[in-house]
Amino acid sequence: MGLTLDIEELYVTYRTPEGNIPAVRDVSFTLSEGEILGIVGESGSGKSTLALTLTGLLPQNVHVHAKRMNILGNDIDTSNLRKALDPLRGVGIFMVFQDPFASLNPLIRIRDQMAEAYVTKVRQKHGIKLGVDDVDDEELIEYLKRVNISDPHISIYKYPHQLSGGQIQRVMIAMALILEPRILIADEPTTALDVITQIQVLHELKRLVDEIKTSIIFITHDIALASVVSDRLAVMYGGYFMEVGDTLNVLKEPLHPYTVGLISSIPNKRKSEGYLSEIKGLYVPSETGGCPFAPRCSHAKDICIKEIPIMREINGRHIRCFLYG
Amino acid sequence: MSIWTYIINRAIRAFFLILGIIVLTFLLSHVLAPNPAYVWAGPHAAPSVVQAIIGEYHLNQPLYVQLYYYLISSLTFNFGISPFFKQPVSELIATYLPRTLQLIFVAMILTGLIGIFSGAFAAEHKDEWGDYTVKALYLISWCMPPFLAALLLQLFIAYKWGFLPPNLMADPTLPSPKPITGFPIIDAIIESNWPYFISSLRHLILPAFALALISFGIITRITRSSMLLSLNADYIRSAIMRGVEKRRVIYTHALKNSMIPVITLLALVFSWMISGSVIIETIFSYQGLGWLLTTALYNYDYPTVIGCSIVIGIAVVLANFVADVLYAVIDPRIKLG
Repeated sequence: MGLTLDIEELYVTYRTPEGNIPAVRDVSFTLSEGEILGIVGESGSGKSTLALTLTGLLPQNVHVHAKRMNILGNDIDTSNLRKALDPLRGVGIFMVFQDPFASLNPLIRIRDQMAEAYVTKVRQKHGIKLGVDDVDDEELIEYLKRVNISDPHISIYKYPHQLSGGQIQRVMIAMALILEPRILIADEPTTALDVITQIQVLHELKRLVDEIKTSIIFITHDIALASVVSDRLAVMYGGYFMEVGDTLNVLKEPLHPYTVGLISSIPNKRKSEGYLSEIKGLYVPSETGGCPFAPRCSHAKDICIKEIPIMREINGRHIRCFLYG
Repeated sequence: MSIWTYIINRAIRAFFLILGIIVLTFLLSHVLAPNPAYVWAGPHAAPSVVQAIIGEYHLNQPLYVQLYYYLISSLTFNFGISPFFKQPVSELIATYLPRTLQLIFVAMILTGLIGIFSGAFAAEHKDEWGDYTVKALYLISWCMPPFLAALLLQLFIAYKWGFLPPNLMADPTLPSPKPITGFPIIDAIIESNWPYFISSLRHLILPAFALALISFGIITRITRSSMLLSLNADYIRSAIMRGVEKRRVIYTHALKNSMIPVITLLALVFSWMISGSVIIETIFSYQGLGWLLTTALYNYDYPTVIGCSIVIGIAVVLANFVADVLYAVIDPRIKLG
C-alpha cells in the first residue's frame, strides 16, 4: 500500500494584528491508501486548520511551513499552497464540510453542482472539457441512488435549502463518488446531524473506502464517533498531535493523560450511575512554551510548564508526554 | 408558498401603499393650501370664478367627501386641467413621463454596469491599489452634490470640448417623430427617423451619465462587500474543492449570490433617480417629468404638481414591487418566507 500523504513537521500560524497565533504545531503523519485516520480534538485544537491546509483553502493571512509535505507523490510548495494544490483538488483530494447548509450554493440546483464535479472528473482524468449542461442527468441520478437519497429523480432538481442536512451530506458523498478522490477529508461531516442520520452518513463514508479505495481523514470532536470509523486515531490538543495509534489500542489503553480524559468522558452503560467524568478547565494558550495541556493535567510536573515534550514511539504508538520519557 | 402567491401578496401590498400615497398627497395639499381654489384660479380671479372652482372640485364639502372624490379621480388618473399649460394633467404626464423613463433607463444601465464591475474589480483586488482607486472615485462622486456633477460634465464635455450637446432633448431643427409609444427614441426607430434618433441619443448621454455618476457609488460598495462575503462562503470553498474553474467560481457562484442585495438596491436607485432627475433635467433643459414638475411649481400649477407627485410615488412603489419579484426569481429561498 502506497502513501497518499506524508507530512513532516508542519507548522501553520495565523498572522493577526494582535500577533502570531500558532494553530498547527510540529505535526507529522502519514496516510496510506484505503486508510481512515480519525483526528480528534476540541474546538480550537487546530483540526479544521489542518484540513484547510491540506486542501490549500486557508485564508490569506496564514503562514505555512513544513519540512516535508508530500500529497499524492507531489512535493508541495508551502509558500503558495492555494496554487500548488490547484491541480490536485477534485480527483486528487476532496473535502466534505461541517455545515451541510453552507456547503452548497443556495442559488444553484443540486443537479448543476453535481454536474460540476462530473465536469472536473472528465477534465482531470481524461483531459476533455465538458460544459455543466452536457452532463447526462440519468448518470448523476445513479450516483444519488448509490448514496440512498430518497426520490433521487426529484431531489436532483431541488435547491439545497429544500433538502435536509443529512441529504446534503449524502449529495456531498455522491460528489465524492463521482470524483473518486484518492484522499477525502471529512471535517465534522456529521456534527450538524441527528444521531440516526449520523450513523447512516458514517456508513456511507465507510462504503466509499470499499468502493473507490480512497483514504479518509475523518475530523471530529467526538472520540466515540471517530473510533467507529477510523483505523488509526490522532488526538490533537493546542495544535499538537498528542497521541497517534491504532484505534483499538488507543481505546483499550490510552497513554496520554488527555486521551485518558477524553475516553473516560464517553458515556456508556458501565458508567450509568454517578457523574460522568470530565477534563477540568478550558483550553488556554500556553505562554511559557510548555505543554499546552499542562494547566489541565493532573500529572503535570515542573518541566511540563517550561518545555514541550517531543513525540516518542512506544510499542507502535506515538506519544507526546513527559510521563513517557 | 408558490411564486405566484408571493407575487399576488406583494401586489396587494403595493396597491395599499399607492392608496396611502394618494391619501398622503391629499393631506399635504390641504396643509399647503387650505383653500386651493384661490391658488388655482390665480391672484386676480373674479369671485364667481373661485366659486365655480369650489363647486367643480367639491371644495365646500366635508373632508371625507373630498377625499372620496380625490381617491376616485386619482385612481382613474384624472388630475384635472392644468391652469398653466391649459391641458389635462394626465395628458401632460403621458407626454413627459416617457421622456424621463427613457433617461432613467439609460442611466440605470450605466449605473448598473459601472457599479457592478467596479465593485467586482475592487473585491478581486481587495486592499490593493485597484481597490483604493475605485474607493476614491466612488467616494468623490458620491459626496459631490448632483447639480455640481451635472454642471461640471456640462462645462467640460459639452462647452469646453464640444463632444456632446449641452442641453435639450434633441436637435430642435429636426422634425420630431409622432408620439406612438410616447418614448421619443422608440418613436424615432418606428418612424425610421434616424437623424432624430442619433441626435436624441447624443442628447441623452450627458444627463444619463450625470444621473449615473451620483448613484453608482452605492452599487459599487454593496457589490464589493457582498462579493467579498460570498467569496469567503463555504459553498465557494466547496466549489473550489470539487475543481470548478476559477472563472465559473467567480462569475457563476460568487457574482450570482452577490447580486441579491444589488437588485433591491437598483430599485432604490430608481427612486433616487426619479427625484434626482428633477435637478438634472432642469440643468440640461431636458423636458421630462422633472422639468414639468419644476415648471409647474414655479407657476403655482397646483393640479400638475399633485399629478406628478402621485405618478412619481406610484413609480417608486412599482419599482420596489419589481425588485421584490426579481428577488424571488433569483433567490429560490425567498419563496418560502
